[in-house]
Amino acid sequence: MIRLKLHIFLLLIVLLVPLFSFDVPAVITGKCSDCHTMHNSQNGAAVVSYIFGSETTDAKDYLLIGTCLGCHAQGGPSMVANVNGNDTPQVYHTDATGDLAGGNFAYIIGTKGSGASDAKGHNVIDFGNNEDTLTSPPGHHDPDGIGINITCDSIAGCHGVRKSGGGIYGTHHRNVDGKLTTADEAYNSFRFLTGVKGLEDADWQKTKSVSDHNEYFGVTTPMTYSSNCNICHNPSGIKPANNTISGFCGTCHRSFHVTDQIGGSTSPFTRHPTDVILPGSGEYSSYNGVGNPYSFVAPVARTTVPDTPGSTVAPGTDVVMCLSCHAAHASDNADMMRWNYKSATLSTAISGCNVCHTGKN
Amino acid sequence: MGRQHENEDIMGPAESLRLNKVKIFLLTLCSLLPLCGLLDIKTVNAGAYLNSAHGNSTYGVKRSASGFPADYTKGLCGHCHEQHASIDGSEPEPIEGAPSNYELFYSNYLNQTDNFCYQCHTDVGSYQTGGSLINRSYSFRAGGWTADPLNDVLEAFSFTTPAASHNLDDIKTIITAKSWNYTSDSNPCDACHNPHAAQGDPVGAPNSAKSSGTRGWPVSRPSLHSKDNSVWGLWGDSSGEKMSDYAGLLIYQAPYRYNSATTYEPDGSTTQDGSNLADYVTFCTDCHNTINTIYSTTLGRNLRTIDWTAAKHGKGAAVLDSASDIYSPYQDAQLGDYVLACTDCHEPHGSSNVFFIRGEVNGSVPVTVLTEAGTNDGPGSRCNTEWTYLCGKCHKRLGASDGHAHPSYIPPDTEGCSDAACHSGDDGCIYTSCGTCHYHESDTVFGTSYGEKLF
Repeated sequence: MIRLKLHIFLLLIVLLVPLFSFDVPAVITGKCSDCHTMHNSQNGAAVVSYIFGSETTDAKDYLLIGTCLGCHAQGGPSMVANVNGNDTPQVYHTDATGDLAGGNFAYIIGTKGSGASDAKGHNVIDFGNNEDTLTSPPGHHDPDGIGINITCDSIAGCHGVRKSGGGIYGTHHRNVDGKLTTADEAYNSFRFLTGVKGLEDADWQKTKSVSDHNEYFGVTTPMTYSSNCNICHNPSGIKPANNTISGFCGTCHRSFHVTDQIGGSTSPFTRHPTDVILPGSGEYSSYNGVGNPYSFVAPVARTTVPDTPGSTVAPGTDVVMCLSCHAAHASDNADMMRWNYKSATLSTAISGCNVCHTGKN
Repeated sequence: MGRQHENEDIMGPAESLRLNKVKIFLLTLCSLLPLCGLLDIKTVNAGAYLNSAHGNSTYGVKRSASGFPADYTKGLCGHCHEQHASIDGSEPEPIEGAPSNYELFYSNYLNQTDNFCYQCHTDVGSYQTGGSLINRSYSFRAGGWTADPLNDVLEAFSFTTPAASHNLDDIKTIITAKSWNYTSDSNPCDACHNPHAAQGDPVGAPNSAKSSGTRGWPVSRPSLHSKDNSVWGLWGDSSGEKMSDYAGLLIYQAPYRYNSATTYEPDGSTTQDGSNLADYVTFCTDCHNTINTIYSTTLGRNLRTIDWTAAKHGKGAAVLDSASDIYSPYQDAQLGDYVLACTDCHEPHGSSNVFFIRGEVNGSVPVTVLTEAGTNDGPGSRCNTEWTYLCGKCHKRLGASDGHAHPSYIPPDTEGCSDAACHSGDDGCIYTSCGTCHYHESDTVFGTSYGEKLF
């Protein structure tokens, strides 16, 4: 009888567990040697092994056994790789089944997709591929002090502390995963994008569905510059004052975001707005068809970071963002678009536009 | 049912196999359809934009400019809208130095001869691939008068006195004053055209006359304007929006095509009941009605209001009398039943005549009217008779030899040929111009009520 009760209890556990979804914290919990080496020497050989391209196995800062790209851009066949037992998201890979939420730098290099092109993504200089068209981030102020040779982190990068001498240092150790609404430091910000709020998908969208994805934070009015440098520049580093993903992009692409340079906060806009509400009337009310299911072609941001991913979009409430059209890292399309805006087939070229602009098909 | 059974009887093995394959195909299709939902696959249906002139993948908008991507496919949004006011880090031509409303690549509207639309709709220096975008007059396209030299939209809106163009500033004034969802930022071209829906007419052949197989529908009613492209549809493309819809109470008679007595406007077919013509009466009277006061910058006065319900050329009853003698295809016996479309006499954009009167009417030319009063010479070099260039296309007995066939009735306070008002000769001319008595809403002769409409 007791055994039967135990069986029933275990059965209930097995049945009920899938009903709850947990975001697994990414705080480093493994052995120190998973990431660090004291002397970069083991049996006479270098321990540093996670390197990219021409990077050497010389000892690395913070005693790391690899570099950013060495761990996160292995170029292998899987979008999530195993680094000493840790699932590690890949920003550069050849996985034919898809890409993680941020996209894939392999499209720029041409090791995946329809061919190499600088226009397909952010040219992170560490990949060794120079930007041959642009001379500064489009929409940035001039002089920008950044140039075009961006990197993963620090003053010329996106992740970690964005100031001279800054970087990703310490963020993995303190990482807060899942719902991020504090976002005052890199470790408690969305994907270490300092200042950005959001809900991180546990597997970086390796698996995804309308109810299984990142949630991005947005607001209903873009930032206004008005000669106020503090909307981006902060003693602790560069970060968006409004905590949105679009505001974050605007720290480099300012004129594409701020009200002063997009024609205000209401139509007519002079540049496509972000951090504005997807209208709840007219053609927009039919966002992505009947029932307004969440779209991976043209996703939206939420004005409140939800506890769990939303499977639908609410025109009139949810917000247009930069990532509604663009991938963060790179895509297989020109201008990092989420769809092939340069398709020779017109209906395909405007298919992403039509997710929101449903009357323009 | 019997027929189906009969088919089964005659079906051989090969036919059965084919049927089975069809069944398998349909079964597979049914099985796969739900997957489309799971995979977020959307089917693309051509809507108003993809069916429009701008959004056509074969002949739609395609900008060619320095700094602009050459590989944008025809009809792509980016040909008109620059989402970031720059491409690849810089602004393609035309460079205005500042981003434009609605993310357009040029200012939406500046003045009569400078606005966004003209950047492509001009025959010289057009940003449309090829550098020249030809758009013909209504007389050319519907009338079939292919000798009309007017060949682009900018030209049509560039006429100055004594010629005339629809005044865009005045249009903008009225559409923004109405509750039609226009704003001070609107382009007055959008008063009549929905740029995301307007079709070429003829479609894809802007340098040709219309034919029954190449029809499109270019206009949308301003009073129905909406920023929602799903709502602001085309006018004339559906039943209830045609000139033939007046049938029963009235008759629309299509004018002849140029130089023809067997084919008719607007498409050169034998159709003559207006079933192939948009109801331009309803369309134009959105603005030109009895309610709206429209100031004309061109004329320096308010336009006359138009009550097309009462007008003889409109829905009002014309009188069959001795002066009523008209040319084919119109018939005397049906006078009183006709309703004319505005486009039977007027160009929509502009022409070399006053009031943008067409250069070709009811199958013939010339129509040359350069003064509002009609004081220039008309046919046969008769003074004060230039309006007969127009009126004479349908009305007989307006020539010198017709004497007083028209007017047959002399107002009671006048004294025939000796009347000073009619034949004063002050200007050295013995004729009184048509415009003295006949114009929209006129019902008086020399200030005396005539007792009925005179137009």
